[in-house]
Amino acid sequence: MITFPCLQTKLVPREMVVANSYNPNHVPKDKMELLKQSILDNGFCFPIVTIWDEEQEKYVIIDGFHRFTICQPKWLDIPEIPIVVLDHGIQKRMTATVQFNKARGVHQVDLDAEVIRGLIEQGMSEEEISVHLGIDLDTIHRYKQLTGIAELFANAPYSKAWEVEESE
Amino acid sequence: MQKYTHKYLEETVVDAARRRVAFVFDHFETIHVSISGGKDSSVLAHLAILEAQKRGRKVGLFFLDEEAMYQSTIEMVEYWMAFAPESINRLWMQIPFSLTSATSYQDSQLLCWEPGKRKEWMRQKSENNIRQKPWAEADEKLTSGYKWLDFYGAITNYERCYKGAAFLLGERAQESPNRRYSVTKHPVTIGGQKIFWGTPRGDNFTLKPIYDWQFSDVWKYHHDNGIKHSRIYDYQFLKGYNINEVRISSLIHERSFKSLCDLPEFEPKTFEKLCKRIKGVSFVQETGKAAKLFRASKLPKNFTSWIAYRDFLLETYPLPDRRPIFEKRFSKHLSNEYVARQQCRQLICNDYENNLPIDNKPDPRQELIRYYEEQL
Repeated sequence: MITFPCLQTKLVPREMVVANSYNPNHVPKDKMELLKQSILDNGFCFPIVTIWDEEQEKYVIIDGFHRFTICQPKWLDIPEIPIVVLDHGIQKRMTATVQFNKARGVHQVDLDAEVIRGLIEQGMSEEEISVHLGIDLDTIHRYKQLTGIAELFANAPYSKAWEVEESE
Repeated sequence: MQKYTHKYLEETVVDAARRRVAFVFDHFETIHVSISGGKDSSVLAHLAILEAQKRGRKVGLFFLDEEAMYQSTIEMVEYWMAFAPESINRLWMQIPFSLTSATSYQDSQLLCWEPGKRKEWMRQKSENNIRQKPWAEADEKLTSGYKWLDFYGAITNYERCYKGAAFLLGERAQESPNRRYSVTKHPVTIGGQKIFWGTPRGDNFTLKPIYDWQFSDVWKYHHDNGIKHSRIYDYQFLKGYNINEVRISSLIHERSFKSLCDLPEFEPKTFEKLCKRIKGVSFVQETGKAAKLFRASKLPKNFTSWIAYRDFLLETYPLPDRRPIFEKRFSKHLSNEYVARQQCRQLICNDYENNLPIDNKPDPRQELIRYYEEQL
């Protein structure tokens, strides 16, 4: 039977939540900036997934360590954070962490480029796109360039031919 | 002693290449261009097709289909085959041969177009293509040291079907020092002229008319002539690859990890098909960029030396009948950390064919350490 823990979200003080010891996921700095921007733009849409640890008397994170980090004083300083609590043993907990980390899509490069061209057509500036999508300006310039790679060499001169010669 | 020097000519690479292609048409009846869907062979195909049209002749476009390929590559090959049908002989080969795959120990050979496994193929064959080996099974010549027909074996056997033919290749000297050497290695005499950009191949010749082109020339030629290029180059460029490192490599090969890492972003459907076809593809895709594993650049934390790690990998190597290949090879090597690290890489990549050769020399770090010990 499929359950819906997402409907049981509750707010708890940030201090009640701790990281797990095994999460192999790493989020680079620029993606943290994007996460911060996303929460500013869209609000906190996805609760942090936890289990209740009887010994520590804390909620231990299964998924959402970086959303949790964003709540810290160094970032957005959110004192009460939304969590859901699962009833998983250690084994199920570890597999759940990996499932949450890996079961997600990647963006097809050319579709990403389409989105950016669409936003530009709708009048969004490159700087705004850079901030809201977490993409540097250089990449935006590449994405804007519709015509393909050969166009870049339109004005390059052809190089001189050479031959191999024998000499004594 | 004979020395070779480079002499620059008073003409562009395009004019020189046109002249060389015309020279080939002057001296050969049968002319084939090997195409790969890549940028270099596209330039050569275009030059040869124009020359054939000018003379009312035909040029063969040869493509050895590895089955597990980018969709963009297939589309490029279709583009060239349809470019000027009246001037082209379509030599698109979809025949069984084996490819080494480093993604899985169990599927270490992919037999592409394997007979009787039609349902597992990534794509179906087209009836316009050559679907049977054009040579007799009994005459088949295998590459030395191989039990199966491999990529180069397939090419060799195909070439042996001809006599006095010119096989044109889009190789460029800029690509690697090795290939630069290949431009001068075995010159041939054709029509009384010594041709350094050609090499005898059995009863035929291979010729490389665009050997002196730079990558900028290749792209400018694409632009000036309005010819298409594979979307993979644009994807790579969008991804931030340096303009001179965009290239299309095989999807299944010891060195293919980089192309596999990007595949889901470039061609998600091809990636899904490839995952179904070959074991381990998804694993390599996820870990390929994590240098630790496949490049063997960082020792796993539960080992204290590369030698110990190598012994562990050798001991636990999953295919006992292939283990002696590695043991025999490694017994000829020096015993040091530098060599052992490379041996680990071969074991991890399942490179029993020695495609990633080992630089068998004293550990350069030892020398450095000795130097500092003396100095301090």
